[in-house]
Amino acid sequence: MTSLIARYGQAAGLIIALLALVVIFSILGNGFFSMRTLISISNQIPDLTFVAVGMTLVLIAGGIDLSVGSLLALCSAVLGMAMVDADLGLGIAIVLAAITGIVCGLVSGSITVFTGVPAFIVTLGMLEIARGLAYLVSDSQTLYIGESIEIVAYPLPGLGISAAYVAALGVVILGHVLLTRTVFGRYLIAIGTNEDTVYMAGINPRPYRIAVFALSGFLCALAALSQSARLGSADPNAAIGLELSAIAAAVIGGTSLMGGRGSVAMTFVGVLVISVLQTGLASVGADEPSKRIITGAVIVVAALVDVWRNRNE
Amino acid sequence: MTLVELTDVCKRYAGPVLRDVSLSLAAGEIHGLVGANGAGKSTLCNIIAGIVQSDSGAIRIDGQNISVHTRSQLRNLGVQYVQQELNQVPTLSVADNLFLHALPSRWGVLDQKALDLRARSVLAEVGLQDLAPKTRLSDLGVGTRQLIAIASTLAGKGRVLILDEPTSALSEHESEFLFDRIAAIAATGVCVIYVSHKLNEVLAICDRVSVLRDGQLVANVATKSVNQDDLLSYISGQSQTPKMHFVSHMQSTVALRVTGSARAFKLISTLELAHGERLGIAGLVGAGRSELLHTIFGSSRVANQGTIEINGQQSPLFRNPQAARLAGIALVSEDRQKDGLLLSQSIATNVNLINPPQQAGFIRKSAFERQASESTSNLEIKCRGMQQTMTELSGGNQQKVVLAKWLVTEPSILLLDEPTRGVDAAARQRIHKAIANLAKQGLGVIWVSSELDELRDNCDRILTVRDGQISGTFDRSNWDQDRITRAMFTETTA
Repeated sequence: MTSLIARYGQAAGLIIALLALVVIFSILGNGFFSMRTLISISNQIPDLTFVAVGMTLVLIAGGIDLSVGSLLALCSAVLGMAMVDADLGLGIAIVLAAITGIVCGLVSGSITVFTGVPAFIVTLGMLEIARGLAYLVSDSQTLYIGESIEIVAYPLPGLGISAAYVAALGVVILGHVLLTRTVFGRYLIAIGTNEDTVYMAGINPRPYRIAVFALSGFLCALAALSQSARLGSADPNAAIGLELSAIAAAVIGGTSLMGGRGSVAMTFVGVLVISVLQTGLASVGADEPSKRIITGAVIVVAALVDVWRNRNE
Repeated sequence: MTLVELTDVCKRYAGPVLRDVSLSLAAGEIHGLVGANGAGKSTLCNIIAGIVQSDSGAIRIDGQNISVHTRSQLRNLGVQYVQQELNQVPTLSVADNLFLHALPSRWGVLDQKALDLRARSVLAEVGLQDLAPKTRLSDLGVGTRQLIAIASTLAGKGRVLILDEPTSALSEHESEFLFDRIAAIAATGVCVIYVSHKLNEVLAICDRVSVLRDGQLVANVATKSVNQDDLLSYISGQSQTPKMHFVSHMQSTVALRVTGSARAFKLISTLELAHGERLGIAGLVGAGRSELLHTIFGSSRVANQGTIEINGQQSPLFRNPQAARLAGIALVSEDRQKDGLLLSQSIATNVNLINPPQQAGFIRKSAFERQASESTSNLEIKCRGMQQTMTELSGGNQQKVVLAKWLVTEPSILLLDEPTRGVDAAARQRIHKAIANLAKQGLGVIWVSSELDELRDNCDRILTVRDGQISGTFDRSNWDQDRITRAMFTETTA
């Protein structure tokens, strides 16, 4: 019962903080609630959501994936190349991008699991490698794809939101179910809590640890699709530093960097906080330095609240 | 001249650990301290070194009454303690480690020259004059590191030097050298307290020897007047007859047979376990008790070769715990906090760790708590509910959860490594009863314990291990505590 209150108390706290942000920006900003800002916010959400869900699962299993921004760019380049250079259909292009993301994730995961090199280092390497590959594949050019991919970002008839947006929400729900309702999710939490215990319980933690990196890679491919659709093009310079926003969203949502604790649903709230903050600050005319300082402060405060709450438990 | 004087020192944790220990040690004396596991040797050393406070009794060092004292106060009085687990920084140099508590510096800048000079003189005292003080500690063997640990105690002003099992990692040659140094150190008027399981060493180098048994000082004699046999009699004490209401559930069929030349564990003969048998493993800490279990469970850190036969099914020794679990083996490990539990998770999550109730990969929420409470129902876990976090439970209840976790897998072989360590008396009885019940259902149980009493009261048969080998087998029917103790400490004759 207490844990139930603690759990929903945590969710309520963050959602109240999110609403407070919206109210503050509505009062301060000129037309924060305008159609333009809403569109601006919702446009950013799918990309970051895909990546942050993957990041959350990796973090919960006790790892970290710094390569997500570069993987997004690489998958995006693959999409562009497949659709423009090779003139393939959207479906096949998506499959190719997904394979790219999954393979990169499998490589990172396998190296860290089988050699014991920390995921931080391995994925830092992958961050550089994938970015390099993105330049290589795209010949360092932004590829214009056009209408054939933009349809993914168009509002769905009758719904008003895009297919990418629907997919992102779906991924949040699936990720949440995966974590809370499946055996796979249980093992991720258990491995992140104490891998020795899992191993000594006669469960091989390696396949799970590798799989979660592959999953993160796959979600990067979805994020690449969403972003390319929004821009109508594949940009090898895209998503630089996205890994930091993804980690920030997860941490704001209460996911522990030490593993074993976190929530996909709360990460989505974290994504909303970051998006509202960035768009809101822009709409009240904050300059780039203040935007960065305030965003940074919010991340640290969120982590502090989390530490404080855990100490009190 | 009396240097250290203990009067009626008492200490209890869950139970009494030291009972009215009085002891006086002279300057220049090498004093051996022996006893079985859990006899109170470490606690006594910790009290003399100021790491642990005694509950009552007086400690005088050099005539000074020390009622409340701290480690640093005692270090200033010259009490030095070299623990078995070396407290060193392997990434730093020899010299850094020697003077870590007082690095010479000028304005915060390390005075490398002075450090080097001092290190050389200290190293020479333990015969390591040829060792460069700049050598990184991690590049040295355990024996040399042990000597450096002793040298670092000499860097301070030493009056009392406590050595806990200093030769456990040393070669014979290194040991000989160490003994020479100890004698030389004692000759300067330092009182050396020498804790060891190796009775021949104690007899060879000590002037006097004290024997602790169940927290009581049972002997304090000159080594000249005793031999190894006498010491063993003191250590084991009167043989108590096993309790009468023991019911054996041992069947005639073989549940487990292990044969092999395990590298970590020199299994000299076949180990056999019957269905329903409770097989106790007795031995000193470090003798290879846990390693025996890890060899069977596939969690040994070295590759072992041999065969294992479970209920007639033969296979090579397991390479990982997963294979062992699937073959029906369960291991309740020695350190439940380290690798037995998910401490920050709930009881239900821990109990259901291995086989969560599921349907096509999805957790069956309705069955989740039910399975947890069913598995724990016989164990009487004191908790508010299955959702309570493990950290809130007592050691005994945590251990019951570990047991319940394994019972979910319905194993046919249960390996227990110190299952009642740090567990209160009531929970202990409960665990003993639960194990007896499992044996009744036909499970074969291998039970490692440091407490001979526990094995005596609960096991059909006892194996003793010593130095990585099985050194004796004792049936319950001819229980002989004296012979068992001998098999634990010295070469077997049986």
